[in-house]
Amino acid sequence: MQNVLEVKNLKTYFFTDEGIAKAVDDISFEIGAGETVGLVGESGCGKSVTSLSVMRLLKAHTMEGQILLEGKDLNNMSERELSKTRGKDISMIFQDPMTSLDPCFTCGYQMRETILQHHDVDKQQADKMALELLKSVGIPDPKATLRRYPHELSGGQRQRIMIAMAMTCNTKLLIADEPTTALDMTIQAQILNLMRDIRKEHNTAILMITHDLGVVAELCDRVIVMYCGKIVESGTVRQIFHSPMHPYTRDLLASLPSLDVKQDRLNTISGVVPSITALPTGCRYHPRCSVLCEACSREYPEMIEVEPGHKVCCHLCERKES
Amino acid sequence: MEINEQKFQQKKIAWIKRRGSKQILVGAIMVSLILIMVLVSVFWTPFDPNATDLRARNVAPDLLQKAHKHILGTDQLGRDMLSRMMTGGQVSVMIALLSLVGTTIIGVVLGLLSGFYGKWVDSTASIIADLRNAMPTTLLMIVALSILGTSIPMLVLLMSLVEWVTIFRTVRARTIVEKNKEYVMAAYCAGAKDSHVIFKYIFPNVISEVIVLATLLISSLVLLEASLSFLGVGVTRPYPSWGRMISDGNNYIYSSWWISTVPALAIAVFVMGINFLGDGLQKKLKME
Amino acid sequence: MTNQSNNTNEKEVVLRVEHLKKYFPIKSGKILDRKVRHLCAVDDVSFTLNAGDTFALVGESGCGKTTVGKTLLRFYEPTAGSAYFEGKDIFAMSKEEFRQYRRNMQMIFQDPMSSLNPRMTIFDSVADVMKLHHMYEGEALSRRVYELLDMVGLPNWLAKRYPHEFSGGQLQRACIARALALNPKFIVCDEPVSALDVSIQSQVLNLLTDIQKDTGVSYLFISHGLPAVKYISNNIGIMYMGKLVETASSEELFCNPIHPYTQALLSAVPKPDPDQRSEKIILQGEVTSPIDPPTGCRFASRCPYATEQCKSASPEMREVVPGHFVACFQR
Repeated sequence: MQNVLEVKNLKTYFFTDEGIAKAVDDISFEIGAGETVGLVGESGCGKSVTSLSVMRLLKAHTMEGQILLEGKDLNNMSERELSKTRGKDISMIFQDPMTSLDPCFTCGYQMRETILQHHDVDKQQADKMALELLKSVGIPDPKATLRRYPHELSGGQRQRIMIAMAMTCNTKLLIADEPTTALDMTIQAQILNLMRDIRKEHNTAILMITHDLGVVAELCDRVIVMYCGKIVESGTVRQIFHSPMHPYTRDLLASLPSLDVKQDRLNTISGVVPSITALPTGCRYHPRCSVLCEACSREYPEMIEVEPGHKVCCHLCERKES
Repeated sequence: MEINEQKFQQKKIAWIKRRGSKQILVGAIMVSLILIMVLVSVFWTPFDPNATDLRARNVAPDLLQKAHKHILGTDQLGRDMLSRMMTGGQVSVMIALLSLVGTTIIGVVLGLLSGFYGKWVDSTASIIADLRNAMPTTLLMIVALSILGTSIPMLVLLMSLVEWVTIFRTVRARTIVEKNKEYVMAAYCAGAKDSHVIFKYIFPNVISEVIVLATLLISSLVLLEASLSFLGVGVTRPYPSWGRMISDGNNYIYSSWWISTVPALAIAVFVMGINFLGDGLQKKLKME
Repeated sequence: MTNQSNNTNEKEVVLRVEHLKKYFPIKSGKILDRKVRHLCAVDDVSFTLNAGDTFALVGESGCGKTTVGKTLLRFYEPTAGSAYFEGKDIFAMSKEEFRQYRRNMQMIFQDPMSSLNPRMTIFDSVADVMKLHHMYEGEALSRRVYELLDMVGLPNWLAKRYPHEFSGGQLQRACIARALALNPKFIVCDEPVSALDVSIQSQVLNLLTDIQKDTGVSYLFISHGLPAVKYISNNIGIMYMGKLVETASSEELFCNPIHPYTQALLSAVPKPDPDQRSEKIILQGEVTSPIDPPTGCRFASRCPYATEQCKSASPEMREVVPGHFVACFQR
């Protein structure tokens, strides 16, 4: 399988009053064609910074590493080349569709502009394409919707329009940054369904960024778990959800309240997420970890492959291997 | 690939400096330069600022000639410009600061009340603010001062009524924002009364912005006092003030330009310094 | 389960809400031609809450669940209905009377960052609440504050810090400490964990249950997250556009959801298990505006089982199974 996106040793740092914030610290991953990859972690773990770095939408103080989109390095691209690539080969949808649509223009106008930017068509054709796209994302009464302004639509419909706009060019990679977090439960189910359909139809690779493990299990083929700017574990959905290896992944899964059984007490992870500017030495999870060994506080563990496709970053797993 | 930590530190320091700290520093130097001169003049000036010396009228500043007696020259009556500028600052700065206190009190009290209670309190206060903004300030001040008589207390009182609208609007807007925050609701949950909520919860969260605004207002008040004194309705004759001094030198602007220019420079340095200070503070505050 | 329902019958009722209505008038049009429409945020909601129990109000955004909580604490004046707190009608009290009475009822908010005064230390925020009621003075006051912070698991050395130095989870703990300061009998928890990280949510939920066991406080737990609700609550009410559509005990509701909306809501929860990608009930359409809602069942426009009757008449709550009430014609 050819990889759509390959991220190699990406580092995105910021300078703050408190010190250097290593928002993303040396991460590497890849996404195959048509694959849906979930990037999970808690707030501040760097998952959103990763996505913005990949889109080159970030004014970071330092950004190093390679972001290869079908072999082309986005990190070395000029602003002009980038704006051609964005929207055509790679597009993004955000958590709050209200802020990503321009409130001054109708949805139809915005969609037409996006289409004209990337396709060699006239206005009438562009409008026709917009109509088709809206139909394909399941908007009731698409003709009327084209004439509406973003604030006249509900959150779910705005997110559908964002997805329609992202799909104008048959993009190879769609980055979805918490696309359903701002939506209601029943609407979330609708949108997830829609994303599933789109993946089937267009064979688009999706990078799904979320904190909701349920959404990941629902939609993704592979999962990457991040903690404090580092990838701690990655593998297929079944590997991650059925046999999680990293203590963080295990604790996180265990702490979810269950819908199936009534629990007397929830499992918790003790402590708090450390500040990104004052990270602990060694493994970043060790102050909260329940099974740590002596090496954990001393040095950062290497990423090792425990079974095909399942990589973990933990001293204890390493020892199991050897 | 390894990134040099030291390079980071340097970049970081440069980045912090960019956020208005330099501006604050320059502003503070300029303002304190003037303030120190003004304070010193209370106890000591190089010459008696009101002593005339008719043999040394319209003497140019030292830099322009060989004599070394009057650093900034003398005016048309032979009074030392430096000494007059220093004492003139006393009156100008004092009037500006006193009317600033008045302005701030009016703005904050009205803003808090109208933001907090809304309804008719808010509409009344807002109408008053609009009315105030619709009036030509200088013209009205001239009329009022000529009817009520010119004196420093009267000047301070009237000047307090000029600039409060900016403070009022900011405080009102902030109060409306803060009043709807959950911590205010939590205070009510605990059984707090309105007065407790206003003073303990809303006021402390509004005040930081007021300080910045007030800093910036000093400069407009100094300028207002100067223009009124220049027009002859401000500070009356025995007291020197910067505005009065500019007005005095107006007739000699072609022959002895320094008589107007020295106090004008003092105003310019002071006002610019204040503006730098205010801008810098605002930037700092926004970053937080 | 039968055991527990027996217990609930014996328990003392802390709060009884009857036919609570809250309409917000919306004025529009020109000055002379003014039209007043009504936003029916809460429409005829009734429930009871027993001492030491948790009643959860569940629904999507805009369904009026938060308005119920805020109206009970009289941040809004109710349009109609009554609420009896320990037998006293709290809506009939005068403002001043209620201000004194309010210490029995507290609230925890969704966003912990904005629910603490940024210019006050955590210590002062908690102490201020007690100072208002002259409960403790001097030494005793600070001892009590530290005791409360201890109870919610905040170490003493953090007490003299300002809110911006804390993480969301710690702030929510501080808010809980403040809510507990007046020994309330009833706390409205308005989405207390939705703004927190996954790993912190379970900590706070555990803390809330621990406190309930220790102090016997009752919660009105407002949330849209069903797994959390299942864990914490004894009874659940599902709200849709201002109306309660189903109430039952927690076990009963999750095992046997009857209202079509409840069924859809339950099936929409994504489960953290890739082998359980079950068939979902995907509702068509979205929540319509609660401004001047149509007569008839408000869910009718999205309901797969809707008939003509549903569109013309509004269903009443019926007891389908003992203790399990549903407002639906079809069931």
